[in-house]
Amino acid sequence: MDGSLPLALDTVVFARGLRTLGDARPSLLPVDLDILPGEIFAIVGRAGSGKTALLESLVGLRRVAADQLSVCGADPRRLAPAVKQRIGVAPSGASVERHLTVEEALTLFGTFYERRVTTASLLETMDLVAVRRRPVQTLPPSIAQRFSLALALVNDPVVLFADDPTRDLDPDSARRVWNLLRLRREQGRTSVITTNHLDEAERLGDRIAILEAGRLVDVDTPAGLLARAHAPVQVVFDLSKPEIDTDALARLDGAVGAAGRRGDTYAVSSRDGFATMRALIRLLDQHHATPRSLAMHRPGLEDVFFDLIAGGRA
Amino acid sequence: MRRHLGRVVRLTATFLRLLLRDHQIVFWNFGFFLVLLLVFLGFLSGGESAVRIALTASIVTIGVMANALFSVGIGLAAARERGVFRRYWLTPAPFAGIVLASVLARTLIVLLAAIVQVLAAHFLFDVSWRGGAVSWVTLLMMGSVAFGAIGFLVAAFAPAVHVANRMVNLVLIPMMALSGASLPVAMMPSAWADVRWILPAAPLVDGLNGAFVHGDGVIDNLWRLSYLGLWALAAYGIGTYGWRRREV
Repeated sequence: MDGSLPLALDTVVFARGLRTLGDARPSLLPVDLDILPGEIFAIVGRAGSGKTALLESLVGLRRVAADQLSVCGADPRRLAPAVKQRIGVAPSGASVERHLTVEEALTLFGTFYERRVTTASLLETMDLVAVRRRPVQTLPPSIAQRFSLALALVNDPVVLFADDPTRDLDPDSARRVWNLLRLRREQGRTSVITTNHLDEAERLGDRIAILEAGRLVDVDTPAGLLARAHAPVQVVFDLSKPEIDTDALARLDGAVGAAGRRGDTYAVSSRDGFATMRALIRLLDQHHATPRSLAMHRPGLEDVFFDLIAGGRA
Repeated sequence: MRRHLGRVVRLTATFLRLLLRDHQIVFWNFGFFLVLLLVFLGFLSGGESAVRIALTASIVTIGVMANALFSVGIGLAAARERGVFRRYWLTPAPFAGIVLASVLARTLIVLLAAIVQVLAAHFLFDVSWRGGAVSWVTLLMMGSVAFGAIGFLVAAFAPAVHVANRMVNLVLIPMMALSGASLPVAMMPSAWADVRWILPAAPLVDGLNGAFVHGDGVIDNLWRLSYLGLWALAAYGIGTYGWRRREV
């Protein structure tokens, strides 16, 4: 394997029957996975579900077995330097010498790669200019997290593997990381991230993998996952007077189950949100009632996530 | 090959610079043993030249042992526990070169500290050596490499820093007590005195004494140097096996 690996690959990660070996916890059950060039692939799951184990298995940090496994065209269990030249990894639980400064570390790591981004540009991109002369050991967690990402980006990797890249970050820094990942996508570069935040996965991910107890429960686009929602739509409105009978609400077109009321807020579950809303407007007209607000809430990724890990697709 | 060697040399220089920024490493390698020299040679030697020479050989030997075992053994185990090697492993840089540079930098600190101790004893307390300095410098070099290798071995098999700490103490304390580095050989049972050379600290302290007192040269110390080299080879060999079979 040399530096002339093709840039355009059908899949940058291809795994069949990938599983962890030994007694490492959490263990990974056989996982099949394809990650495409230029996508942001988000791995979500509860704590201990195996997100980090999966990410680390893909970059060769865990002892794994697999029927077929390829990252950038090579087996990560024997990651050749040529492949390492093309990937960047921001793992959890990894560090550099405590007395290295931020700038020195980025420069040192840059010397390991044939293709490298200038230290000045990395410091700028990751907002590390102000701390460039600080020893790594003195960095607070949020800056250390940005520094870890900067180290992973030192070779402008074709595939970035980042374990929870926005952990410990303030909203401003998190937004910076999101923009960076989107920019990489525009440049045709792949990013594989793990996250505990479903909204982050939904906002960023071109595809989302849901992991539970070391098993890959589902992989799809955010829209594809949302389309599988079993939870009903919620039609919600605020009305102080006149009072509406909740039994009448439960009989609206498309409504399912009992309607609820808390204070001035009414909620109707529905299998057909638009039909229920039309019927509700007619009902309110009959009562000469004008609600302060009226909205339809579709089930979110969170609902789908809990549906899936509860065993709906197991 | 030359490219890899050049990288190891550059990394060693970088790691050495970083180690010298660490106040704890500087204190324990240089400061602590200089204080020991001042106390023992200045106040407890009774001004006797022969006692000063013997004390210098003992303190420098103990310094090489302790510093190498702690710097290399515990230093590597701590770096591994903090995920330093994990981070390097993910880069295209040859992993063996990274570990080698780290061991070399720590061994060089031990050697530098030992040379500074001998020079301090020479200039402050008139401890002199017959013949050239090559003999004792070579002994210190081989001693640092041998004990650095034992530290490397400890780090290879210790699952955590606190275990490495116990293992180092388990090696260091008997070595200090039984090799002749702290207890005079005359006070030992003769049966033990005859076989104490199996401990690698014994040829080091004996060799230093010989170099200082009799002006023993490199040839005179050849078997001692070879024996230390043998320990280094064995410890690096087994240690490398240990490092290879564990996850970073």
